Amino acid sequence: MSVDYPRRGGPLGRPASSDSLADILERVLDKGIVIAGDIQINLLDIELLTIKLRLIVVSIDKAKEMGIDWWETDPALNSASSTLAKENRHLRERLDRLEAGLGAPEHEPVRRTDPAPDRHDD
Amino acid sequence: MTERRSAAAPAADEGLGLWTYGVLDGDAAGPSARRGVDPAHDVELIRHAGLAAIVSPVPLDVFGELSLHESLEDLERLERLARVHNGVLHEALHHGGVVPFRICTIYESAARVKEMLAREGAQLTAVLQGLHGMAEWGVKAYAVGAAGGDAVASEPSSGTAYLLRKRAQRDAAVFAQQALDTAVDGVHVRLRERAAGAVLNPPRHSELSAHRGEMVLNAAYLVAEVDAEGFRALVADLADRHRRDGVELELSGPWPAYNFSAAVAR
Repeated sequence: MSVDYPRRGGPLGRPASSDSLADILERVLDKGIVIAGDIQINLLDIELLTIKLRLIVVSIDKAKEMGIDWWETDPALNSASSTLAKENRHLRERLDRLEAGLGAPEHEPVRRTDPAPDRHDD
Repeated sequence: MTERRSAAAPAADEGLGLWTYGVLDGDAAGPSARRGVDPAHDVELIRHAGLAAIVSPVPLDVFGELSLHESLEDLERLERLARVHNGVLHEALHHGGVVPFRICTIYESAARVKEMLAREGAQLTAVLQGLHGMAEWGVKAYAVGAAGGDAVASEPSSGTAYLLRKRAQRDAAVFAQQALDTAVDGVHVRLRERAAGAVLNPPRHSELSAHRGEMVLNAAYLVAEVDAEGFRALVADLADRHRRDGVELELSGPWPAYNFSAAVAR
């Protein structure tokens, strides 16, 4: 049987473009089925790649410019770093509160403790 | 170009593997002639156990684990592989349901593909039945900011004024966030009602998005082909309705049912 799907897509009210690379990668890398044990070439590393790609990849030109692994070093795009930033902010706020209550203490380095209990990432 | 080999040959040819795109009903029409991920070889069907696997031969010197891994780290090559893989599956939508396989699923021979079809046949068939006449549609929502910005106040006259203003700003932000959440939840609920299936994926990071605004919804819906136009109309309607909440919707599709085939992997 033949199914006549309209071949359109893209943002509503804007010119339809071919499917975005990010949309495709999100699907072909991360979805679709994996039948374990019978795959001659089993790319477990793909999981890692997928995690990286899940963070972003929309502007392919920008990604090319920066190289494929750029997000590992860019703190703004790295979820671990943003967690850290959040944690930092929390600690700074706590410090502010403490200072307000006790008078300014010695300048103390903010130590990183165990992962903050209120991590909402992922 | 006269050198294209058929899928029946690779078993005899040590150097070729079979890239497997997905699985169709056994009585589905064959794919129209198109090149596979390796441009020297066309896409073909291997029929077995009432199913048909969509495959194309790939030379293992290029598609072996090591070189394939290199290819995946090269965004240009990855893009090509991904687009061809998706393109083949997209065409298969026209032949009824298709269960998409993850990229880089390669078998060493047609015999191994048949083995897989026989072994996984029951589950593949069950999933295919659920996908018949269905396609996946992607809907993303972006928070682009509601109309009316923050009024810029003058310098606070005192510490108290400063704190009050801070609090007002925080309350306004919380309020805006609640309105946004409500709008996005509403969109998802309406679309889910209209669909045969719904999957919520984590929103993608906004930094690199070509789209302005933060992604606040990244969903996929399984929609019957006969209802595709209705679904599109509903998305358009919701987009109109929620624009004033600072939400922009983006529709993509139809897609092979990538998000609705996972049951097989269990």
